[in-house]
Amino acid sequence: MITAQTQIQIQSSVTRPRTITATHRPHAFNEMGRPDGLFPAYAGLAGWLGEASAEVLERRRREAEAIFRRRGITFAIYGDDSGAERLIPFDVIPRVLTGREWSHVSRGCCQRVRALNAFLDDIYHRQDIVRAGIIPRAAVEGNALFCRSMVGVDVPRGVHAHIAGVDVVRVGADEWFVLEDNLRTPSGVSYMLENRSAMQRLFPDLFRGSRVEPVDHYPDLLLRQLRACAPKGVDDPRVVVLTPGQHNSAYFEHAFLAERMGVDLVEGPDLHVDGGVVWMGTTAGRERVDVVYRRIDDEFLDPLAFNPDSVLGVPGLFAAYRAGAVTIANGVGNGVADDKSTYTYVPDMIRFYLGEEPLLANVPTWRLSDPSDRAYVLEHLDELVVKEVHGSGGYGMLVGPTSTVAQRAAYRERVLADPAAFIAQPTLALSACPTFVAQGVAPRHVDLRPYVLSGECCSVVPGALTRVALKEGSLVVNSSQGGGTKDTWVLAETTP
Amino acid sequence: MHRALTRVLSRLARASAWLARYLERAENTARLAAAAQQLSLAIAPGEGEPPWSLALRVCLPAVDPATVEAPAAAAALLLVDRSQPSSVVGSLQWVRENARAARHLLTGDLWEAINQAYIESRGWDADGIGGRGLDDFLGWTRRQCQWIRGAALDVPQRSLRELLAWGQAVERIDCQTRLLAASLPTLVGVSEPAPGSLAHRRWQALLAASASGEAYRRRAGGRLRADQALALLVADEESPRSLAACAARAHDSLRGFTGAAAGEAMAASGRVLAAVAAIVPAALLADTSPLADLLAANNAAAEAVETCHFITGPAAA
Repeated sequence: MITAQTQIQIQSSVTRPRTITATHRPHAFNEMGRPDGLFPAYAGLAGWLGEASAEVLERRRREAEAIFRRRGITFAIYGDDSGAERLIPFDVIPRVLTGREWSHVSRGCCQRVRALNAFLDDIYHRQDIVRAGIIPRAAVEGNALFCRSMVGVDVPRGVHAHIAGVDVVRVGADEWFVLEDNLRTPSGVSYMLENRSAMQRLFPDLFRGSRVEPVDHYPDLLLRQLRACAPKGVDDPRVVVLTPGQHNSAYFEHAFLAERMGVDLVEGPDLHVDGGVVWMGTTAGRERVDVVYRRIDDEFLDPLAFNPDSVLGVPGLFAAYRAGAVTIANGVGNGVADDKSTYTYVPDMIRFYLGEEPLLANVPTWRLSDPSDRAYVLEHLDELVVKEVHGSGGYGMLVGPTSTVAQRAAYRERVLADPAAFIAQPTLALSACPTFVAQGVAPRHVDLRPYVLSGECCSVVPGALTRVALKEGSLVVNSSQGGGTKDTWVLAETTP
Repeated sequence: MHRALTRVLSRLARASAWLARYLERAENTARLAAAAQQLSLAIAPGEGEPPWSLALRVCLPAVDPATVEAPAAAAALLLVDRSQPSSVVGSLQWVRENARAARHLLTGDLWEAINQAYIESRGWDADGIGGRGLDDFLGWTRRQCQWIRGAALDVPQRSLRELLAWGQAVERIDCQTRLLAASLPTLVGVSEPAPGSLAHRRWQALLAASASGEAYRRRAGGRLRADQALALLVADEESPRSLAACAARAHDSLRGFTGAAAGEAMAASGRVLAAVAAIVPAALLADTSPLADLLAANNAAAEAVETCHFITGPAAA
């Protein structure tokens, strides 16, 4: 069953809502339309959906699966010796947004990322936002992901988060909320691109009937932004993608992006630092590297600077980065800006650094480090979603309305043991989109992840990754927990 | 742009070479198995070494043929045993692993050909290659390998194409040399086997296993002579399967690599050329020791290339 709709009082992040009115009428915003009519975005698609039989959709779904398997868009499960590789389920019914809807979301995401980049540069230099009393010092320097070694490090153009994945949810026609910022190694963009490619192969007639904005220039934009952030004085920067290796679950994406950008895909042992410069070994001798687009976590990036047991990283890479000899994208120490406790300050960051009001709101959030917030949350555990500040992938959270008494009791103990490690949010009735499931076409909850690129400017391709919770009533869209993906269409605006 | 097309990351150079080696190995194993099957159906039990036993000795030297009840078990080991890296499906898995490492350098067509072959290979098992299934599997293997090889012709980087050619040539030398070394002792004493005789069938099996039966017939007509067959398999530079042609191809493919230790690799490759040139084909019937010398030289050349071109890090600077 779809969870109860909540009345959400939209307030600034400084005050959190004290009352939640829960109704028990299942109701989630259906992006396709209401019983009395379709929304504009789906006007073009509705006819096709009405005519396409379940057999045709199932056949296309299988063809999509075969395409993805042949392309190798699969991942192995750690610890599974059978060698079986999994696909992230792909839904053949696209999610559709109008140009106007997309414009609002994309401008809001860009604004957010500009503020977050300013925040990162600030906290690793003057910490003006702390001095101004906007964010407590403890929330910055006490954050486990604050990297002291980054203090004073100047990065090209002040950009720390070159690639940001902003997770956005919708609860109404014009009601969008940011769920989470991902500034470290956000993944999934290859699915955005491959989903589009698959849809064009499977349903070319649909595209002829709709003017869908293209997304395939993302790798070109990415390369341009990365090159723009090369160290000073480098005329023709060499960019590489640094991968943990082909056994990493996101390896397909690493190889995909390297190929699309026309750059080398390297592993740690391919690189070495000599004379303060980063080199890679080739059959023609060593070659200098200027920009490393790393898909390795901070901890494993450099055994001399971080985890000494890491065999994935490059000894001396961090020292070269601090010295300005190489750019690392995304920068080191970004985790302080994208965990769930810092998230609550992002609207304040927008006001402080940009002098603007946030275009996209945060989900109202309780910080359990605050005694009054904590007391309220523990009293309403059955109504709220409680998450670990440093959690990801949908793991380690409590979804109050679907939890048992025993689960809530156990979670209470965890919270009491370390309150600062948790935040809570109201249960949102995520919007739903028509999705092809076993029973036919039915609404399923979705979220949205646009990818914001920063370098010489802030840019977003007109498209995103839509993740869909395939189980009826589920709000968990993460692929690691059974979620799937959809192609996301942004309709080109027609001139009135 | 020229820079990007002419040099390869050292680790990926290795992956590319081994991709080609395992692809060649898969096809060679399948061809040997086909020849073994053909021969086993044509000769009576007890007529010399069982054909499947010889195939095992050549392709899976670590396996003691005496412990394998030919032919079904031998076929399963050679063709569909995933625990054997040199079985056909094992080899295709390693083709894929190496292709995956170099994925962003390959064309989409080549990657998909490799990946599709791997996906389909997982559907084959010992039951599936029983009876009529064996011929289906062997035909499927040949088609997959040739499709992949064709797609590899369009890899945009010349150095990558040369590495693929090098890997194929080195593997071909390795397989052919071991095949000759294992087969010739059973063929001693008959310089012109009579059609239909056991010796004739064994020579035909050897030529078929070397993919040289058609070439031999075009060159020599209907008469099978041991010295002519050996000349084709060892010294005929026109035949892409001969040891001489393969050694020349391997040597040529290294010319474009200019790293600091390139000279050492070329020298080692030159020793393979010399070892082939030193073989008197007809004399192999009496003494196969030159084949052991060639095998050693080929292995040493492969190691030299690994050391000179494939090792990354400060030592390669």
